[in-house]
Amino acid sequence: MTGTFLPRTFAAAIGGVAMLAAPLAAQDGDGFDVSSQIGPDPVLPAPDFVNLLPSMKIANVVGWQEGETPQVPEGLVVTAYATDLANPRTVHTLPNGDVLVVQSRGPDSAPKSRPKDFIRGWIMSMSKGGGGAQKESNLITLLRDSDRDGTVDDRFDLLTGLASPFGVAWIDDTLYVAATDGVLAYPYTLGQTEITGEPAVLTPLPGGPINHHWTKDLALGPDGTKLYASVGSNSNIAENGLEAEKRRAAIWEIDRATGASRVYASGLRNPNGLTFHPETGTLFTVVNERDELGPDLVPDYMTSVQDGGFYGWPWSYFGEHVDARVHPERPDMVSAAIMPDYALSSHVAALGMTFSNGSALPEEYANGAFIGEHGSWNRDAFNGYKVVYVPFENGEPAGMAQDVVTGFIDGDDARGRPVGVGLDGTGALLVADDAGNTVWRVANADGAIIEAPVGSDGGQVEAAGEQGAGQGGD
Amino acid sequence: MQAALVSFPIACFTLALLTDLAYWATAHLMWHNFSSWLIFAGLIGGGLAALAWIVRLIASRGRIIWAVATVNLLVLVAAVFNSLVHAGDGWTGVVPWGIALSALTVLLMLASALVGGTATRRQDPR
Repeated sequence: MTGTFLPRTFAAAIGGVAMLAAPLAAQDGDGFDVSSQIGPDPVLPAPDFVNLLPSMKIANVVGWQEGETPQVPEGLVVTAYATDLANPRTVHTLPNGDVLVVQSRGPDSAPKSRPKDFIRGWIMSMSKGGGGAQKESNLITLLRDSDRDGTVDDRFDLLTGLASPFGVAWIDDTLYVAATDGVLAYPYTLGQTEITGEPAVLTPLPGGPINHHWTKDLALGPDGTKLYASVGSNSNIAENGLEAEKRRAAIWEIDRATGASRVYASGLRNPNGLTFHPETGTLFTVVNERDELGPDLVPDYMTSVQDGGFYGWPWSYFGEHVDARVHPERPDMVSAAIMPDYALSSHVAALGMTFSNGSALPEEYANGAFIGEHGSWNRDAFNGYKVVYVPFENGEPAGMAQDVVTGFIDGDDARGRPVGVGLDGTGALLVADDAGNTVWRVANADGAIIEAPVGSDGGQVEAAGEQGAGQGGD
Repeated sequence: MQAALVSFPIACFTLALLTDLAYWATAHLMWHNFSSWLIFAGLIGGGLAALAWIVRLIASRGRIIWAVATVNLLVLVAAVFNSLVHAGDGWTGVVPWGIALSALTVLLMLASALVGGTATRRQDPR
């Protein structure tokens, strides 16, 4: 008899399945206080190592309409410094006040090995905007504000056709460019508006084919002899195997004279925004932490970087919090993990950092760091999509992060997404907006500027220059 | 037609249990990827088989054995959850819940075969 299992049972089974699935869809939105994860001692909820449907909210990039700008607090004024760029990621000021804007798109070389990779690629393409023909990217543009009035007077494409560049540094008539597969050295004298010479490869960096975190940032060391390059991990939590992670999730120290390199610090999942503190000479970075442990894990962070320091990835996060997804377990690595200095809250995607010291901005921004937060995807509510300021005291973060540049999000749309930050030749803050294809300038509302331009490479260029002059005897 | 389609998910889900066990034993990533693809392929095959079943239902050709239909639905549901677990990164994408769901899927397929066989004999004595 078919009566034993009626259609009713079949319907009940469908109903049961729906009930099972319901809590998955509503797994959060519980009003978690994001600010509890900002500072040296963030609240860390229990991790969900098995996340059936990782929470996701992707902003649709719509761009800036004529006359629209981000918002800044009272005492500051924001203007578009340069528009019609092609995915500007970082800004770098040369000692003469010229600003280099590095524009790039990630390489598209990663082989797809799982069904997830296809679905993920399709979802992520939404957050990058565009569609249709896009301007050619992967170039470096020079912006010149000759009369120092805060507007760009001349604009030159200095280098084109680069391999997904991100960081730059300049010293001794040499422009170093961190492309995604290596640090290139171009002969370049300040003031030049074109570069025609072929570069020398100072040192290769880990590139494709996977190249999951492809942005390689660059900073010149305090004594001018070393470069520091960031190399992000090749995966979320080493799911492509540890073999793919050799010398990744690390900051390299590269000798300028020989190109010899060593791992300066490791266990940093995706470090960017390399900057030396102007007073202490300590290296700082902002790091993107791991995904898919829930909307409120793991906080991205800013930290000082110790020589030889290990910061946990992939085995643990924020000190000794074990990530059970990584196998085999390595209690020895977990216990070696250094707890980072300052959490920025989860999934903000901090990608840029610069110290405010010596800027022309109001007194409340005299001593601290600006951090560019690209914005979240692995959360059900947006986080980041702004530039924040973290006050410092005695070379260490001291106090709550404050919003400085906001208004990148409009409902469920993104007009832009901040990445790299820096000070221009007048002491104003520049913000590279890769989705809005704009560089924003945030200046003191009273019009104050600094007396003379200071390069992003800091005092070390001056010191090394003096040294060089002494040796040269001219 | 439907019988031919049903053989795809049966083969894929059974092999996924084996590749899960291989990953558990070796921690070799290849087995995790194999499992993900097998479950994915099984779901596509199973989805097509379900479509064929619905078409047959609408056309009212042949008897509907609701017990089998229910268990088969549960097979697909378990496989959907299993594919979500397997989409997770690293060890916990398979151990322990991925293996558990793969085993449950196989058990449900066995149950479906048993129930189907019994029901057929009862209704259609030869």
